[in-house]
Formats: sequence, C-alpha cells, structure tokens
Amino acid sequence: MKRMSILALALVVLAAGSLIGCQSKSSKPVIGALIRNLDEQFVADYAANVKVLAEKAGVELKLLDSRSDQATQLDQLNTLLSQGVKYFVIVPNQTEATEQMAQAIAKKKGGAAFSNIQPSVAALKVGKNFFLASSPESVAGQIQAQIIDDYFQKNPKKLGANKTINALMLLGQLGHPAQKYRTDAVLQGLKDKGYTVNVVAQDTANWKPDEAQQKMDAWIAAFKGKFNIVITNNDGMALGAVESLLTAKYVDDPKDLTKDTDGDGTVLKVPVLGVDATQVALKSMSENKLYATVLQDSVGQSSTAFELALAMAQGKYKAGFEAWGLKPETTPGDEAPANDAAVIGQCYLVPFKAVTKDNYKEFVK
Amino acid sequence: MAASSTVTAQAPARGLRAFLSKNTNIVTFVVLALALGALTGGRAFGLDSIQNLLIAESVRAFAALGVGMIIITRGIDLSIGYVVCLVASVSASFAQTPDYAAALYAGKDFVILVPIAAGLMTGALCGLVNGLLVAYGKLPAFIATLGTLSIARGLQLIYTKAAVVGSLKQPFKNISQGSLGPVPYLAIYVAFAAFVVWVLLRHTRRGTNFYAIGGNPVAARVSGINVERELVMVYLYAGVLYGIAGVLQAGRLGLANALTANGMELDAIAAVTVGGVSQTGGVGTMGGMIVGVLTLGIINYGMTYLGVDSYYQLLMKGVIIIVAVFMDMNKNARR
Amino acid sequence: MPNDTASGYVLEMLGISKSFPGVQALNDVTLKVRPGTVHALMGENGAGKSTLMKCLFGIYREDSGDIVLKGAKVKFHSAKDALVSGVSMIHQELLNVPDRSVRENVWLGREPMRSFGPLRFLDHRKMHEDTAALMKSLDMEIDPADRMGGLSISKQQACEIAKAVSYDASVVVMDEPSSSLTETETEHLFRIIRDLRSRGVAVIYISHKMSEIFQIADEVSVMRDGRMVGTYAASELDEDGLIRLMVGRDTTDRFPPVASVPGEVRLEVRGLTAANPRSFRDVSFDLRRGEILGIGGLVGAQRTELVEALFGLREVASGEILVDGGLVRVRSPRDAISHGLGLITEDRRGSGIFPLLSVTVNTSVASLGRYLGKARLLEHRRIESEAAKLNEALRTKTPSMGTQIQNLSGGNQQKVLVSRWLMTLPDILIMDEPTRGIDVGAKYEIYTIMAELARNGKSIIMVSSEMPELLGMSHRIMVLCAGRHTGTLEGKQATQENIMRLATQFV
Repeated sequence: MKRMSILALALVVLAAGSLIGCQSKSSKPVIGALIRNLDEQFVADYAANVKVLAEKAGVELKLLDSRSDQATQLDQLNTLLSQGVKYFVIVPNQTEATEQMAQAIAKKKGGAAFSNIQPSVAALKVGKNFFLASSPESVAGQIQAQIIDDYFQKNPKKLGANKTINALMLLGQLGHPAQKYRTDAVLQGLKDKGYTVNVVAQDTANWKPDEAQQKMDAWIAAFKGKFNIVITNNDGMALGAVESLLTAKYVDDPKDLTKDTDGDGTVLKVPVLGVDATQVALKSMSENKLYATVLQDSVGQSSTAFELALAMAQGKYKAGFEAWGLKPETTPGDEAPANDAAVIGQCYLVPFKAVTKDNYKEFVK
Repeated sequence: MAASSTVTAQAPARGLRAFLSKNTNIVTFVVLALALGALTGGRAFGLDSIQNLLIAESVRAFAALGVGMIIITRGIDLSIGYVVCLVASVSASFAQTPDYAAALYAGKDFVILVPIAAGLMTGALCGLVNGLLVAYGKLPAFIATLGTLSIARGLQLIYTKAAVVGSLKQPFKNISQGSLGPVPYLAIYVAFAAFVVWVLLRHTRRGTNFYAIGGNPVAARVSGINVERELVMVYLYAGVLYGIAGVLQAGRLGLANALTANGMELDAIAAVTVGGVSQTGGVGTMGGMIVGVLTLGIINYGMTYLGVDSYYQLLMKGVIIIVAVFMDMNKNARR
Repeated sequence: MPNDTASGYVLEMLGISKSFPGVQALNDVTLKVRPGTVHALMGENGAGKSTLMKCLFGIYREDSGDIVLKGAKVKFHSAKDALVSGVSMIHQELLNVPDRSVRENVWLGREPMRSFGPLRFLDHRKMHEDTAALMKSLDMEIDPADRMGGLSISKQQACEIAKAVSYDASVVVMDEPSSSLTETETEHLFRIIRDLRSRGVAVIYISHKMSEIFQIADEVSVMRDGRMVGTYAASELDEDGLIRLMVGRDTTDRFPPVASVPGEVRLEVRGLTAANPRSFRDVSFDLRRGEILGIGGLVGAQRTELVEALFGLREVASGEILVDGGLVRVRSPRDAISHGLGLITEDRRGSGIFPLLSVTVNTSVASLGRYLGKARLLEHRRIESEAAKLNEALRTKTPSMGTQIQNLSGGNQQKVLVSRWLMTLPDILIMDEPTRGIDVGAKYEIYTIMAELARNGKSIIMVSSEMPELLGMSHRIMVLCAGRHTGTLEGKQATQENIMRLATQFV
C-alpha cells in the first residue's frame, strides 16, 4: 500500500511536470504576469487577454494567480525573479505593496506595468521602468455617480425631498480595494453633485449573486417604498438584486414583468447599478432589467500593460512610448500616482466607460 | 529480575527502511524535492530559490507550530487566518510613518517595541479567549474558534475601517525583511520558535501533558493533569505564535488589510497534518510540523517555478496532501 | 443427548494454521461441531479463538487447513458470504443500524421488492409480515416496526439471532453474547439458544463465564496458545478442571496468600454522600495500613461512584475524608494524588491508558512533577529507568519501553497502569475491577502484585464484581447496596451467601 502511495505521489508530480509541457529553452522574451485573483471577472478577462497577446507576440508568458493574497504574490514574484524573469505585468493586491515589488524587480534591473489597482507614487519613483496602466477603481464609482445623476435629472419625480437619494448598497468583500474605492467614490461623487445621500441599508454580499439576492429579499421586506436606487460594487451582485426585485414583483407593472410603464429605462421600480459590464449584465440591460453598469476596460488595461512590458523586454522602450495607442499623461491630475510631476510620464490612464441604454450594444460579444 | 526476561528487547526494525517507514512525511518531502530537482535540472535549487522558500514559508510555520500543538491536544483552531490578520493590522497601525496622513494614529511616532508588543498581546488575547471557551466553556474547539474567527474579522474591519494599513516604517519592515548574511531573519526566528516548541513538547511536563490530553482526556484527568489549565495554555501559546506571525507578516508586506493571511488556517492545518500530526490527537512532533510546512512550501514553490496553471495548482495540492496523509495514517491507527 | 443423535458434523475446521509476522496465531487447529448442539469455545485472551472465527468468516485467510460445511469444502470471502451459506455470527458489539426499524435491519441488503412497471420499490408490507412471523416462530415479543436503537441490548441481540434464523442458519457463532446482559436477559438468551438447538442449529458459544458454560454447553473445546487442547463433553468437566485446561497448569491456588497484617488506620471516611441524589449516601468506613479492603455489590450499588468521589472525580455533597487522621479536601484527582491516593479505573481503555503513547509515558504521566531538573525540564533518563524498573518488577511484557501501550495485551496494560500509580508513591491504591478483561494467568500475577503491595505497607481498596476475587483477596469486604453501606464482612463471616444477602438488602 505504501509503495503504491509513493508511486501515486510520483505520478502526480510528473503529471504536474507534464502540464507545463516542454519548457522552451529558446531565446523568446519572457514576461511574468502576476494576477491578483482569477475569481474576479475583470481580472480573469485581463489575464485571458494577456495570454492572447503573448501568443501573438511570440512571448513566453508566466502567469500566476495569487488568490487575493499579497504574501503569495510576493513569493511568486521572488520565484520568477530567481528564474531570471525581469519584466512583468502586475495586477497587485494592494497599492501599498507595489513599492516593495518594484524594489525587488529593480534589483534585477527589470520593470513592470501595474494595472487595475494603482501603484503608489513611491513605486513609480523606484525607477523609470515602472508604469501605471490602469483606470483607478474610484473612477468606476465616479462614473456610477454620473449615471445616477443623469437618471435623476431625467426622472426628478423619483428623487426624495431635498434631492435625497435613498440608496441600498451591496458591497463586495469588505476591505477589498475595489469594494472600498468604488463605494467611497460613488458616495463622494453624488455629494459633489449636490445630492443628500441617505444609505438606507448597506451590507457585503462578497461579490456573489446569491448572497446579494438573499440580502435584497430581506431589505425589500423591510424597506419597501423607502429606497429609490440600488448601488452595487459589481454586476454579479447587481444581477442578484435584480432577480430579487423581480421575484418580489417590485416592478412597474406586477402583471407584466416586461413593461417599463414609467419609461425610466427599467421595468423595476428602482434602477440597479453594477460595475464590470459582463455579458450577462448586458443581456439583462437589453431586457430592461439592469439599469446600467460601468466598463472597466480589461482589454485596454491589459494591452497597455503588456505592450509596455514587451517593449522593455525587447529593449524598445523609451520615454513617451505609445502603448495601445495611448500616450503617457503629461500634466498631473488629482489622483495618485498620476498627480506627481516626477512620475507623470510613467502613467497611462485607460478610460473607464459608462455602459447605459445608449451604448451597451457596442460591448455585446 | 533480569531486564531481558520482562521488558524484552525485541529487535526493533533497523536501518534506513525502518526509518523511512516511520517517517513517511520526510519521504514525501524528499520525493517532491527530488522530482522538482529532476524536472528543472536542479535549477530550482539556487541559493536565492532556497531563500525564497524559507521566506515564503516562515510566517506559515509559526501558525503551523501553534495549531500543531493544539491538534496534539485533540483540538483544532479555525481562527488562525483572521487572528493573524487582526494582529497584523493592530501591529501595523502602531508602525505607520508619522507623516502619513491616512495613518490610524497620524502624527504619532511609536517606538518600535510598541507594534511588536501590541501584536503579541493581541495574538495572546485571542488565544486566551479560544482556550477559555474550549477549556472552561466546554465548547467544541471547532465551534469556539469558528466564533473567534468571525469576531477577529469583525474587530479587524472595525479597527481599520476596512482600509489598508500601509506606509510602515522601515525599521519595522527590517525586522521581517532583513537578513544575516545569506540567512533571512525570518528563517532565524522560525528556527528559534521551533526550538522552543521542541523543548516544550519533548522536555517539559506540560508538553507530555499535551500528548496525554490528546491521547485520552479522561485518563489525563484521572492521572492528575489539570486538563482545563493545560488547554488554556496550549491555545495561549498558539495565540502568541500567531501574534509573531501577524507582526512578521505586516513587516514583510509593509502593510496589513482585511485580506492579509486569509485562509492561513487551512494551509497550517494541512501542513501539520502532512507532517504527521494526527487529527485524533496525541500524535505529532515539532520536526514533523516543520517538515509538513516545507512540504507544502515545496509544492507551492515548485508549481510556481514550473509555471503550472493556477487552477491545476489547487487540484495538485489537494491530491498531494491527501496522498501524503494517507501514507502517514497507517502508522498511528488506533487499535 | 444431541451427541448421540448426530452421526456427523455440520461444521469441520480441519488443521487450520495461521501466522502473522512473528506470531504463530493458530497451529494445526481442528474444531468439529455437531448439529443441534451448543459447543463452547474456551481459552484465555490471545489463545486464538477470535483468530479461528475470523478464518471461518473469511476475514483472515488461513495459511493451511480446510473448512468443511455439511460435507462440502467451503471458503467464505465475507461475513455476508457465510451468512448466505447458513453460518452467522452474533457479535459482542452489536452491528446493526440503530436508526432503522427492526424489519429493515432483519432484511438489510435483501429487502423484498415490488415491481411497478420498470420501477422497483421496497415491499414494506411483506417485510413487516415476514418479520412478525419470524419473531412469532422464535417466541420473541418484538414489534417489527420498532426502531432498533430503541430496544434493549438483549432485544437487539434477539433480532440479530432472528436475522440469522431467517437466513436458515445451520451454524450460529456467539461471541460473549451475555457480556452486557442482565441475569434475566441472559436467561432469555439461553431459552432462545435452547430453541435453536432443538431446531438442529449448531451454536458455537464463546464466553469467559464458567457458570454459563456449564449451564448451556453440550461440548467444550479448549484452546491455548494457538493450539486446540481438546474437545470434551461438558458433563466430563468441572470449573477447576476447565481452568486447568485453559491455563495449562494447576490452579488450585487461584489466589496467592495475602500475608500482610493490617496496621494503623490510614484512611477514614465519614458520612460521605454524593452530590447526585441517586448515587451513594452516608457511607463510612476506614482502611488500615497493609490492608486490602474489598468493596462488593451488585451492578448499581454505586461502588465505582464511591471510589471516584474519593479520588475527586465526582462531586460530594457532604461527609469527611481523613488521611492519617487529618481532614483533607479532595476536589480533583490532583488533590487526591497529593494526599497519596491512586486510582486504577475500571474502564482501562476509556479512562486508563493513552493508547498511542509509549509504555514509559503511560507509566510516568502521573509523577512527572518529581522528575524536573534544571530549568524545570524533564529528566528523561531518570524517568525511563524508573519506569523500566517498576515494569520489570511487575513483569510487564513489552517489546520495549518505547512501544505504544495499545500493542500490549490487556493484562500487561493493566500492569503498566499499576506501575503508573506505584510511581506516584501512593499510600492508598484504589483498584476498580483490577482483573476485568484479563486472562486467567495474568490475573494471578495482578493478585500477587496486590498481596506484595499490602505486605509492603500499602493500603488497597479493591472494587470487584467477582465473588471469588473478593473472598480470595480481601482482609475485609464492605458491601454496598443501592448506594448505601449495608455491612462489612470479615473472617468467617465473609461468605458468598453473606455478601449476597447484604448486596440485595434493598432489592
């Protein structure tokens, strides 16, 4: 029995070995991709595009998933560095960890482009080979605020007295940067636009549709008629909320769930907002259920980051390099790290896009 | 009465073979290491690779030593991940650079001892609560620590308001990130802690009591062991070890947030189980725990090095853990 | 007698040998069983009885030898296999499904089915009726619909027997079937066994209880050290003769002489009453230096509860305990140990041994406080040599001091436990059922140790359910009945009859 077990163990190891296939010894450029967590839709799309780009460019790609653990990501970085990998695209776990990663890479005279979560100014100051190729999370919240503003401009009757927005908020995993920045930014954005925001209830649904639906079921029972919008941190939870509202017949016309009688763009009594513009979400929008979402451009971010890493690997990078048709910023803006003149030339801002009734068809695949 | 007639010296199986069959955990580790060496033509074992491995596993090692002792007493601790997370956050909050505007105690500059002491005390307190609940509250360890898990998570979020506690002072980070020649400080701390745990388990009365309680709690009580006190102590010791883990993790990452160390309990429990610490209690050694940590480490490291797809990594890791434990299990079956 | 009527054998196990690494467990064993008889299989623990039965049921594969059932050679691969061929086993620990009904248990794995088109369903009605008929034919009053786990142990056993009958069993093996039955229940079991016998079923009956053997058995086969000593008609044997066969030596002296003379009072108990109102109350007695005080009584007399209370394991409502004339408080085993008490509990596995730990640790665990050296670290060398010395003195047989105690036989485990308490240097040793589950040879050794301890000035309290043991080993016998002290017997008064009288005073 024991001998068989050892055999089994050996087989597993060999199977692992075979999975990686023959390690090519060619002089292809090597690029490391350190990916925060493939469970997140945006990050998964980002990684998928990096794979496609690497294939096209004939680059050997080492893509690793840290499953939301910064310590794991650090270990993965060290492992790749010790293997001689020098250039990276990184979707970090936390802004605060980027400087340390940049320092480790700089020691080996490499470089990296950070996406999704912005690197700190200090990280970019480690060297000229470190880049921001992202649209900061808070922009997603700002765009949500803009969409909400448009909605209430068009449907002022839905607004409470004194421009009050009574919001139900479904949050991602608490403490997750996307949860924090998106939430803070949408609330701040609405305040800046002169609204009084009354958060009727908020809770985490851990990014998940089923948890969101459960929370929403309870809230509908408790706060019927007391809220006029549902804001969520991602499409998954938004769709859970939509489902709950439909089940509870919290709609314009309980007899016909497909009729938008008040003409506000959704069959539901209140608009529901998500982030990500996943395909399911777009489908829901086409049925007048989900009101709107925000596209964080995974293709844009990954292409920009990858082109930067590739240029470095091939020795083609020079200041002012144009990646994915984007030029680096020239004038400092409001948000770190693109607010510091010293590193502004290393910041590539990929635009976020509002996805509404008017334009959602462009994103359907 | 000659010794030979009573306590008969039956020739124990000798040699390498006997040693290996008794120490399947070492076999597993060696097989994996050799396999990795073979697959990479030895390249996977450069000096910096070994340093990386040691650094990567050291924090987990503290958690493993703690939960390993708990499992020896027939307990379990599910709260590790979030306790380490809470400790890291508390510790980090006292180590932020005073000029950092978003610091929890902005403008205050604490001496380096404060974050360390605060972290250790937080860990110890969590361990103490676990111990009291299990020993005197008579709650099943599974449930008690599930409760503290949630409490620790809640406290962490309340304390940090879900924000990242970053911008830590360099001297604090140096505690984790520095090295003595080629040897990372972290590895030295682990070696020291492992030595202390070894002395405790092997050479103190309390250590023997831990094994006795895990082996047969009723018999332990009849033998005059203060079972409740010893249980409180084992959770307390573990808490202190988690405290160390949390402080070092904060220093190593230069930050702490709600996601720090999440899921560490599963890694630690898996590691000590692979290392031969039996869930039925009363069995396990410090050496086994460390071998278990290294085994899991080499799995993680090896698969990263080989570039195995992340989804397959999880699957492989699971299979290897099950096979390793299966191999180890037979030798301590209760008859 | 059935012996005369049977011309042949229903089951023959011929020349069975089986060895395990290092042990010849069975050596050319032959067992022949006639139909319509009760055949007792006797032997000390480790004599090879269970190994032989495991070979019969295909759990072990014998190295050599043949098994012949009703004239045909058979080879079973599992208990189920044997069951279908009419050979069934009633285990000591019942192996049923407690949360299912009696009928489901009886027909488990071969439930009657009913077809409904292509679908097949359980035929509950048929199952119920068949079970009821079965119970009726066996004169058992059990409702087929009852939950198995809700029945008494004896009724559960009856169900197992009914199940065996339903398989048309020709051989039924019963392993210590009466071990958890009351006397009335045992009587009922015997009625069932006699009924089986009258139906021509051969019953192989494994038991340690001599009295039962002579009540029920027609033939007796005795095994010793993996060999068959012989098969005898039960009427040829008496108790001493049977023991002689089992042990292989004369046992006219089943007990060593207890030569010590009790000295001054060491322990005095006054009006001890348990916190639990249904337990013992108002118990007073004393114990002298070098004395063995037996405590007798029936099941439920609260003997174990009393000694556990003395040792701080149970709460006491009132009463006083004096050690050497001084009042002491015993609230935990630690207190008790510090006052020089030791307790060997009745449940060796449950509250005695640490199965996975070494003999050394099992011996020393209660006395480690005396072996702390520099920096309060354990002095392993002294501990090991002291533990080895004690076990040598008690002739504990173990491959090494580092061996896990679970690998020792029951008798040797018990010796390790005695060593454990001797290592604490106690003045008073409480032994609750000191020879339970130990074979005859090892019993004598335990008795010798007790006598030796008493001679060296230790005081011993021995709780025992075995009348001969109480009479053979005690200076005085204190009898409890329903939690009350009904009398203490000494000298000529100490007879079986007097003990029974006191033990049943309130029954």
